[in-house]
Formats: sequence, C-alpha cells, structure tokens
Amino acid sequence: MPKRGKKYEEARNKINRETKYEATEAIRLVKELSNRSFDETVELAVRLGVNPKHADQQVRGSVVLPHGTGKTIRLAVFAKGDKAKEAEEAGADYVGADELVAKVQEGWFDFDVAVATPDMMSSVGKLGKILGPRGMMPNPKSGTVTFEIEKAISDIKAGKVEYRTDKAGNVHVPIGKISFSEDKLLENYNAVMDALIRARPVAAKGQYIKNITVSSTMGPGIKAAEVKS
Amino acid sequence: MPLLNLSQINKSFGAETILSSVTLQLQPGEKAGLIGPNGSGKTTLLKIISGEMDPDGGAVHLARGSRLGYLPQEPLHLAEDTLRCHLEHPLKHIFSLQKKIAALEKEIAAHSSGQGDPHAELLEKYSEAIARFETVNGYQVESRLLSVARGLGFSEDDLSRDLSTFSGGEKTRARLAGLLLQDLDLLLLDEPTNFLDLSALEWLEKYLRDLPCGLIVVSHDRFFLDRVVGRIFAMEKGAVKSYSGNYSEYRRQLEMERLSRDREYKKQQLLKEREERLVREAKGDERSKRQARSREKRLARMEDVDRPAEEKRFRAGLNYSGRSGRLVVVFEEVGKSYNGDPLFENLSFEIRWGDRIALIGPNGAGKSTLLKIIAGEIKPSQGHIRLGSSTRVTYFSQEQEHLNPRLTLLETITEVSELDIKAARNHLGRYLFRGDDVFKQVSDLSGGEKSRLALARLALGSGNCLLMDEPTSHLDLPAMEELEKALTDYPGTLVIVSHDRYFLRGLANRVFSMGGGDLRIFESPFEEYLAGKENEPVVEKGQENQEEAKREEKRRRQEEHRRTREEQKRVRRLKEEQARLEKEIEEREGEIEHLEKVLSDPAGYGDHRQLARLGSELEEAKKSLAGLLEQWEGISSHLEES
Repeated sequence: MPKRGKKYEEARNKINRETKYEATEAIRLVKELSNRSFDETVELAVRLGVNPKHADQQVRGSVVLPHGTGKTIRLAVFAKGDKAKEAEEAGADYVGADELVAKVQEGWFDFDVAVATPDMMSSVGKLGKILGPRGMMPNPKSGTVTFEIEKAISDIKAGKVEYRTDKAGNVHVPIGKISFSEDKLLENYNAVMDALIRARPVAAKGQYIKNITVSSTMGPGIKAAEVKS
Repeated sequence: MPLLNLSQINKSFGAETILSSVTLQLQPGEKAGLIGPNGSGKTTLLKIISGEMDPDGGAVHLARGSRLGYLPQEPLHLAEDTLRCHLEHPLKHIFSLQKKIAALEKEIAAHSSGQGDPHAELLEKYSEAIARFETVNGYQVESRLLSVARGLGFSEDDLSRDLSTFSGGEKTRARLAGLLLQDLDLLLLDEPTNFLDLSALEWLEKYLRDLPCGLIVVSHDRFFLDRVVGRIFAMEKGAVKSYSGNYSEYRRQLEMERLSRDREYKKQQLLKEREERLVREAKGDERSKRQARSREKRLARMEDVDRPAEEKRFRAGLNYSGRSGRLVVVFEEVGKSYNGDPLFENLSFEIRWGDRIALIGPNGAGKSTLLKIIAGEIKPSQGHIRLGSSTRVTYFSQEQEHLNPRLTLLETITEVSELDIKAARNHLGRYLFRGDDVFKQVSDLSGGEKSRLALARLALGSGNCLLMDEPTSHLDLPAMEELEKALTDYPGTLVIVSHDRYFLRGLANRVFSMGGGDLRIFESPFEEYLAGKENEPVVEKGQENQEEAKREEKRRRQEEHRRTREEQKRVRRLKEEQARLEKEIEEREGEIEHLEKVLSDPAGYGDHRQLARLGSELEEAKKSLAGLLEQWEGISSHLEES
C-alpha cells in the first residue's frame, strides 16, 4: 500500500468510508474535500456485475455529457476528400488520410480521440497496435467510425465520453471538473448512469450496478448509493 | 472445487511398485512442488496426470473444461519450423482473429468507398471482433510473445531460426515458452530449470508466480521451489505426503514431525519398560497376578511406534589453521588466455580476511580458472597475484582430479596423511564410507561418493582460505545441508563457485559475477544481490553486456564514493578525538605540575592531611595522564595508517 500524502489523508479522515452517500451528497463532498491547487477532474467509477471475459458481456459505448468534460479535446480525424474538408470545417484539430496514419506510425501522438470514416478503415487498421492498447482505436460502437463526421466531432468537442469495462468489470468515466457547479456535475453523473443502465448486456446476470464511487483526481473515493436495477 | 484430484493411484513396473495409493488435491491457481529422491516416481506421476500414461488403479479427476500443459524432462521432438511459428502456434486463435479484423476493415472500406454507409451488420461484426480481440489481450500478443522468448534467453535472431538447429536445451526452452504462452488451467513442469541460466531462471520464477493457473513442478532447485510454490508434495516409498508452504517451510515441518515421532517413540519405550518391570516384579498373590496378566494384554495390544529413521549424514569437518593477514589475495591486472583467446583480462581486486565470496557466472566464464590461479594450480598469462601474510589456501576441485582412480579409498586417505589404518577408517566412516566400502577403488565410485571422498581428503589438510569449485554437484540433500553447516561454521575466508542459489544464500557476503571476460563485484550478501537482479529489466542479449557494464560501473563508483566518504568521516573523527585528547593531556600535565609545585613547597609540610590528599590527587592525575597518552598513541597510529 503506497504512503498517502497529508492532504489526501486529511480529506479521507473527513468521510466515512463505509457509508454510501446519496449522489448529491457524494458530489458535494468531492467538491468540498478538494484541496489541490489545480482544477481536478471529477471521476465516476462504477463496478458492474458483468464478466468481461465474455465478449457478449462487455459494456462499451459513449455518452454526451450535458455540460461537457471541461477539457479541451484534441481530435484527429482520418478522412479523405470531402469528408476531410468537412472535418476541418467542423473543428477537427488534425485531419489527414494515409499521411496521418504514417505520422502516427512514426510515433506522433498529439491527440486525445481518433475518428475515422469507414473508407479509411483498411489504413487505420494498421494503427491497432498503437491505438488499441491506449483505448483510442476508432470503433463503430463508440461512434468513432462514421461518415457523419460533423456530428461526431461536435459531440466529442461538446463532451462526449467513452466508457468501457476494464478486465475486472469496472467502468471509469470523467464527469467534469471540480470547478463545475454541483448541479452540472450531478447532471453529468446522471447522464452517465443512465447510459450505463441502458447499455446493460442481455447476458449479464444478477445485480448489474454493484458499486459507485465518485472521486477527484487526487482525492479519496466517496461511495455513492447503489441504484437497484 | 479442486482443479485436480487424484485418488488411490497405483502404478507398478514389473514387480516394482512405483506409486501406491497416491491421493492428492490441487486447488485452482495453486502452485505445488513435487519432490522426492531419484526414481521415486515423480515423472511417472506427472505422466499419469497428463494422461500420457495410464495408472494400474485409481482415478485422476481434472475439473471440467480445464486445459492442461505438460513439459517432460526428456528432449522433445518439435515440428520443423521456426521458433516464431512454434511460439505463435498456441496463440493462433488470436492471430486468426487479428486477420479477421484486418479483413473486416478492408471490407468496410470497400463497402464505403462510394461514401455510402457500410452495412450495419458489417459494422456490428467488426465491433464484436474488436471486443473479442480486446478480451483475449490481442493488442499485447506480440509483446507477450517477445517477452516470454526474451525471458527464457532467446534473442530476436533466434525467432527466425529453425528449430531443427536448436540444441536439446534450447528445444526444452522453446517448448517451455510455447507452454507459457498458452492459456492453461494446469501446468505440469518436469525439471524446467535444468537448461536455464540465472537470469532466465529468475525471470521464470517471477512469471510463474504471477501466472494465474495451477502448477505442479518437479525440481531439485530448492531456491526455485522456495520462490514459486506454496505447497510441497513429497514422494517417498511410492506415497505422496502434502505439506503447505514452500520448500523451507516443508523442511521445518519435516523436522517437527521427526521430533514429535521421536518423542512418541521414547514415551512408548518408557511406558513399555515400566509395564514390563511391573509384570516381572508382580507378587505371588492372586490380585497381583491378575494385574500382571492385564498389563501383559495391554502390552500385546499396544501398537508399536516406529523409531524415526535417522538420516544417514556425513559429518563434514574443515580444519582451520588460524587467522591470516587482512589482505588474503590481491589480483593485479591478471589475465588468462588459452591458445591466444583471452578468457579474461586486467582483473584487479582484493580478497580480504573473512570474505565469503560467491563466484558466479555462466559456463565457460572462467570461474574455475580463477580459482585455480588463486590455488596456484595454473599460472596467469598476465599480471600478478599476491597472497597475503599467513594465507594458507585449500582447494576443492570440481573435477576431483586430485583423486587417483587406481587407489582405494583407504589409500587415498593414508596417502596424504599420517593416519594409521584405524584412524583412516574412522575418518572415512564420518563421510559414510563404512565396512568394505573403504577397499573400493576410486574409479568405482559414483559422482556423489567421489565428492564425499574429496571432502574427506580436504578435511585432512588445514588452511584459512578455502576455495571450493561446485562442491554441491552430485551431493544429495542431507549431504548438501551438512556441507552448508560446515561452511557456515568455517571461520576463515571462503571463495565458492556454485550455481545452487539456496546453498549460497546466507553463506556469501560478497558476490563476484563473471561473464564476457569481465568480473563484477557486488559488495552485498548473495540474497541482496539476487533481490537487486530481480528488479532489473530484461534486456536483449546484445545490449546486456553494455547495460550491465554501465550499471556495474555506476555501482562501483557509488561504492567507491561511499567508502571514501566513510574513510574521510573516520579520519575526521579520529582527528577531533586526537585534538580533544591533546587538550586534556595539556590540562592534566598542568595539573600535575601544579600539584608537584604545591607538594614541594615547605610551607605546606605542617598539614599532613592536606599533603596526603594532594599526594593521592597527584597519583590519580599521573594515572589519568598515562591512560590519555596511551589513547593518543593509539589514535595517532591509526591516523598514520590511514
């Protein structure tokens, strides 16, 4: 167990780690206990009752946060022709076709999200080894393989976040910044929870939402009350 | 539910029973070591579990749907293919999924070339394939393959080599790598450590520890067992006994069992003696006779507790000739080459009094040559070696070439000592050569027996710097432990060449690592050296020497710096102490001068009491001055030395 810092310990001592707080209370506590000198990200971690070893029990998708993530997303779009022009006009940070693929292959990595048009997939597929382990490979399920480039870009810029289960069946999603008001954070929180509940796989058995924790980047996790589903 | 359940397994080869009613269980993810003397049936048991051999009786139950992998001890026939193909084979489902994804990507691109939306079905198929690929860690498949290959000592070039060009050891490593890449529930390994060098062995230990599947491993490497397994299946006389814990814990439990059996045996013997005495001493009356009869019945019913069999252990003794000087051996720019090929060059180091050095390195690195140079058996090609004052070297050779194969054991002992026949036989008896054994010819001895004889011969000489080259080769476990004990108690300087990490643990306080013509010195006990090595990243063979050389250079500089700092600190303290003493001496001298002056003043002669007090004060001051001067001299000589 790593040694925790003074500020973390101080914040942790102010909460009851066993108690499951109401979502509003949990968000209020996260804001109240944040004592860092930068604008921390507020994160939501949800433990799901799924077995991610089975492909049909993987939970993956995306949701547009009503109030955004508070971050400026750098977007790379793999498209050619008109679609490339459309992407540029929609505000993509980097647009390109095979030359952009080659640039990424050479080690350039100055973006947060990658979007590709379906006709680019045979070239973008070569980036699987690079983008895949980082969870940034364009995927139809998360809406990043599409011809509707304009919508995809505006959604992402507006605060579209992707969620997916990790090896242990947990989902981690940012829901805003500590500088957001409690109401905004709560609305983002509800949007993610709704999306997760809608994405429940048919094959999942038993209790679906097992645990919910809200935390700031460097703060302690605060448990939120379970939603029975 | 257990992963593996063996019940009442029996197996015989002809009249010889190998396994008799073997029952054991292994839980999912549990790692166990299977140990026992040679020929006790360990390999047979693994073959039965793997399904390669049928038992004569009993049942093997493996949890439903479990996948099992088995690495036999003997070299295997591998398909004629490159190492890469062999390693990709167990991962073929991932590679085929990768191909499928690539094909789907092309199909999606083709369907949408007119910028029309591809079929939703196609996209769904693609998403599913990606999800499956991520589930099986598809993106890491290449790095996993490379990490296993590198971990087991293969280079990038080896991946494209044909397996038919591999040596027996390389084939076993290739097979092991293939097994480690499979997604298994139970792994059976028969002596996997035989063909691994130290770094590969350490990598394997780490990998197996983190592996989530169940494991049964046959190994005689006690250190490996200590680090990997959490259960020991001990085989003896066809039966298997299960002990929880690693190898050291098993030894502890075994000792406890032996002690408890010994206690029970002694208790029963006392009880028997008492009852028999009471029966003998029974009086003639009817009541006493009745009591005696009932005691006799009780004695007859009593189940005998077997006396615990004493392990036959030899008693190693090493003669010590007394302390040598601080410096035992000094190497100055020493090099050795054979037929113009340098084995090592420019080796400079000191062996100090009380050093217990583990000399390690791959085969052919020059470890034995280094020992022989110290022992004076061979001359170096360059440089000088100085033996310190009063250093007396005794040398235990790996090949035991000092033993004349034509002599008998008795002659071997009497040849180098002045012992008479009786004393020589007694001496040999301590090394488990009893009765007519002493008349055997050396050429008729097994490897283990030769080692024991060489130790018996070594014990006749005396020295204070002991050089031992692979002393544990061929020795059985009790003999190894006895030797460990003798070496731990040895008060002189030790240099030991060994690849047995368990043996070196707790014994060595410095580590000399040879390899690539270079010698690296670690000023730390062997276990610390190992712990340090464990944290080092795996590097490619080509880079290894450079990286290690850099690290070693850094370590050497740090160590040198630390020593210099310590020395400076020591000198500073000594100087401070010297200054303090000088001041005190000055004060004391002043005091003495003053007292002498007062005492010599005739005016004070009238007061006897005052004179007596001053006299004793003067006495005290002189004594104190003498003490201070002695201390000052000591410190001054220390300062001069440094």
